Amino acid sequence: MSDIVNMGGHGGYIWTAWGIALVVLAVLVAASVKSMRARERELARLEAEAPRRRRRGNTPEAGSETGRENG
Amino acid sequence: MFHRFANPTRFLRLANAVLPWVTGLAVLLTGAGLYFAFGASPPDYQQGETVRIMYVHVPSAWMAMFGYAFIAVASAVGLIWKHPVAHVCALAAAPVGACFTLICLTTGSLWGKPMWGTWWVWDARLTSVLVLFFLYLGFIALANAFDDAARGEKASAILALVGAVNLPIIKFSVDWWNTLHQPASVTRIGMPAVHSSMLIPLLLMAAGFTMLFFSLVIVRARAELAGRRIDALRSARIHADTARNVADGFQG
Repeated sequence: MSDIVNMGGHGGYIWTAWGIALVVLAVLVAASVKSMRARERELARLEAEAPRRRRRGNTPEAGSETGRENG
Repeated sequence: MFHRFANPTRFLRLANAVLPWVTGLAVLLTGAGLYFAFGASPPDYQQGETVRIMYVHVPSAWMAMFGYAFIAVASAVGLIWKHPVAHVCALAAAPVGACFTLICLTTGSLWGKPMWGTWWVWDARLTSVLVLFFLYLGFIALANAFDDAARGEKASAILALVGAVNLPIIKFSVDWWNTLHQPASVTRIGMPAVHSSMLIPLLLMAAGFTMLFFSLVIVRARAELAGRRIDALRSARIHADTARNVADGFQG
């Protein structure tokens, strides 16, 4: 076990190198996935909202100008 | 061939079908690469155990160059054929390539200290890779520097193409100039000068990193496309609201 940590006296260099690679890639993966999820959730929310708005906008039009005059 | 994927919807359908496979392969190949890198490969007869840094350093260096070549090709496709997805892919690949370049530089430095006795030298290979890192950062900064996304795309695409001259400089720097860095031993004409016990983990890690690259590009391209849809929907809504207010104003 201590052989693995020590690596013939160069363990510090070897494990730091691999550690940096692991941390950089882990941060990149986490940030990428997080941003994708957040934006796709926001997009789904906006798209779910859009037809409702349009319908609300269309309802007064069905009853001609009355809707706007009341509003 | 590119024309078929120029449509974002079609691109997303294909990308989503591919995503689980490249992600799975990335995990499997990198896992196997790690096993061979630490468990099933011998120490080098000259470099001892530090040779294990090679299994992350060299594949990262390959990915740093591959990522930039990917961006240059995507930028060219975007400039010539005006494919919107090409710019999205270039933009998605830039931070991934930049991270691999950063890993290449830091692991190289950590390998250089015990083997060469120095963290850094301003020689051709190391300097040209540092320039590559700054090209990535410049590309990202330029793409985001304009309010008008289309202008940012064009400016950054031109930077990507001009910067592509750096790729052959990196590749051949070890042959053209005297350098501390050793010349290529895998991509040689003829047989690689690396024993199979070291070649196997090297190629497995490289294949795993390549799959990870594409997996991340897909994830980031999805985020970018969703972001653009959000902006388009928001501005459409603002226009609709303004139009309604103007109409109400005229009536009232």
